[in-house]
Amino acid sequence: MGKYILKRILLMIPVILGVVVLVFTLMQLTPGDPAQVILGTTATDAQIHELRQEMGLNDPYIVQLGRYMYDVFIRFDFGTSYISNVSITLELAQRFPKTLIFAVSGMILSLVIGIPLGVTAAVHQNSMADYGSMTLALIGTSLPGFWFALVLILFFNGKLGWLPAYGIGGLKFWILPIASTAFAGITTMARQMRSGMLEVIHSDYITMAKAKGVKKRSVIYKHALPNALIPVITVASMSFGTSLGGTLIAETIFAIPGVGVYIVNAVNNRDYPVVQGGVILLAITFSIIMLLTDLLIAAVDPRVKAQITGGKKRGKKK
Amino acid sequence: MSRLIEIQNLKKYFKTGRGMVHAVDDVTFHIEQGRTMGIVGESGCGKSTLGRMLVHLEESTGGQIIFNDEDVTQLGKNDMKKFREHAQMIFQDPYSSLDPRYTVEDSIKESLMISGKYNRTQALAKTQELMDLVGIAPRLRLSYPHELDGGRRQRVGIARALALDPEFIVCDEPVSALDVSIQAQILNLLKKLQQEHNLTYMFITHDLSVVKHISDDICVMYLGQLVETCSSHELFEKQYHPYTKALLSAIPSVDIRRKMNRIVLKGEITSPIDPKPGCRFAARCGYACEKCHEPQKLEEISPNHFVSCCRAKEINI
Repeated sequence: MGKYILKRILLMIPVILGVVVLVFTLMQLTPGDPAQVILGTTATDAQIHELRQEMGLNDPYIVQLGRYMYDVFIRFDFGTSYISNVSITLELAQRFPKTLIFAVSGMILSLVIGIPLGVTAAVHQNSMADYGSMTLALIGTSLPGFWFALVLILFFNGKLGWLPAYGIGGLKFWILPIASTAFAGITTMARQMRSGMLEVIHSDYITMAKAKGVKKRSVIYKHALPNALIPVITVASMSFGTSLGGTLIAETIFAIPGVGVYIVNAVNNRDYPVVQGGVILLAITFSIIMLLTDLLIAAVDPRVKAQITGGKKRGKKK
Repeated sequence: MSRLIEIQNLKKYFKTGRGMVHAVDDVTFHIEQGRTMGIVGESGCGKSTLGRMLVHLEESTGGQIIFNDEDVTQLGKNDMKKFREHAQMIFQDPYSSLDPRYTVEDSIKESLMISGKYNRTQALAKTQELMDLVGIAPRLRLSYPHELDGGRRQRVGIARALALDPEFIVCDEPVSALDVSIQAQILNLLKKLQQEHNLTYMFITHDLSVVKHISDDICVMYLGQLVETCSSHELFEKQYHPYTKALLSAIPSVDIRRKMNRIVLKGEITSPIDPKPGCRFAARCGYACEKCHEPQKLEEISPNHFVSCCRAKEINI
């Protein structure tokens, strides 16, 4: 197992290098001149040329790439923003924890509420509980996130005045943004869980467990749920990875300085170093999450574990 | 010989959007202790549903299943657990009937632990014994199902079914998912176990050569109804029901000199949803007449040979 983890971590290196090269190249290819962006429309050609020389933009592509890679991987420096002149590493370090709170709390809520909902719906298929939770889930997945967020603000801030409408501060400030993002997560999770569970419930080994005389509860919790969770883990971690990239809509509506807003603004402003830094950060976090997911799945699914350990350790228990 | 299981007017209807599906309709027969009853019929004729009802994995809609002088359709929860120790089932697909997260040992042991008759050490010893009995090497004890081939998986399924020393086992097409060479091994294993443990089998299959090999008696089903039943030997000699005739005429022969006289059925298959009274085979039967649209009765045409066809006598002269 240790060997596998090491192999996977080593494999992350070419992935991240590849991402850096790709993002850097794409940014080079996009039209627009950073010097022009920085100096504005009133700058003369001479000024632009001078700045380009200073920033090294006139150097060959390969030299610029080499310099960038050196900065990122040796000095851990993503450079400074063209627009604000603030260190990108610093900015990301400030913004990432906020996005992390978002992603983690949304994840926890959707697991804690979504999974039991989905299991209940599947176990009592075609009952009121099933129809009720699935209608809710359908509403949840079809409502636009921004609309739901606005309704929440209108109600809890405008009507009741219980919670602040936007900004960051104490715990109170987090309730609405998290609720609005978690809602969609909960409903997707519930639907995933229900369909996964239904598939497993109708499989032969569940019938076999019933034939053995296993109690209904045990059939569900010992046989059905662990098997149904396997695909759900993959889906959940994918959405977790995505939400680590920033929940743009919620960040915008609730004015939370997270990673999502930062990157999108940078794209709009042609702030290349920021876009590059943000994407690299995302690539790294996503790779780590995928590794953790694979390890988690290996822990619950002996078929995957056998692939990972090469099936050599047969006979040794866990 | 005593009757172990007696089934009387057993029915199973499923409610669907378009009406009631009569999956099993008014089936009556019995199985004698230590014998094998083969159930044959085409896909969807209700043979699996019948089997599942007998081990109470499916509630019956009507009728009685009398097992050891007790009607098991009326059993309460506690008696149910007892009943499971007497009647077990071997499933069709060994690839899907084992929990992928359970080792061979865990799968077999679970039944033992649930019964409450064994403690951990005893259960482990009994598991070893069972694996031995069905021919799984002890080294495979901690293997997962995905590491085994189909034959070995089915052996696990058999060991699991035998765990609580049942008297009666429903085998729901236990070899249809296996290679032919493995089929023979499993069939011989089942026969050996039957002799050693005085087991009674109900053997569901659509493979006529398999049923000929293993069964003492045979029931032929068509669209939820029992059309003909007698001893296996007799059925392959002489059939009375037109459907059975057609079914048996479809057995391929390896003898190239013998000409096959295949009876090819024509006509619309009757829908099992809210069917009209009368013979369900009438629409495809070459001998159908007015009387066939009235409800048919199972009649003893020769000793211990029952046929549900009003014209059985006239067409078999």
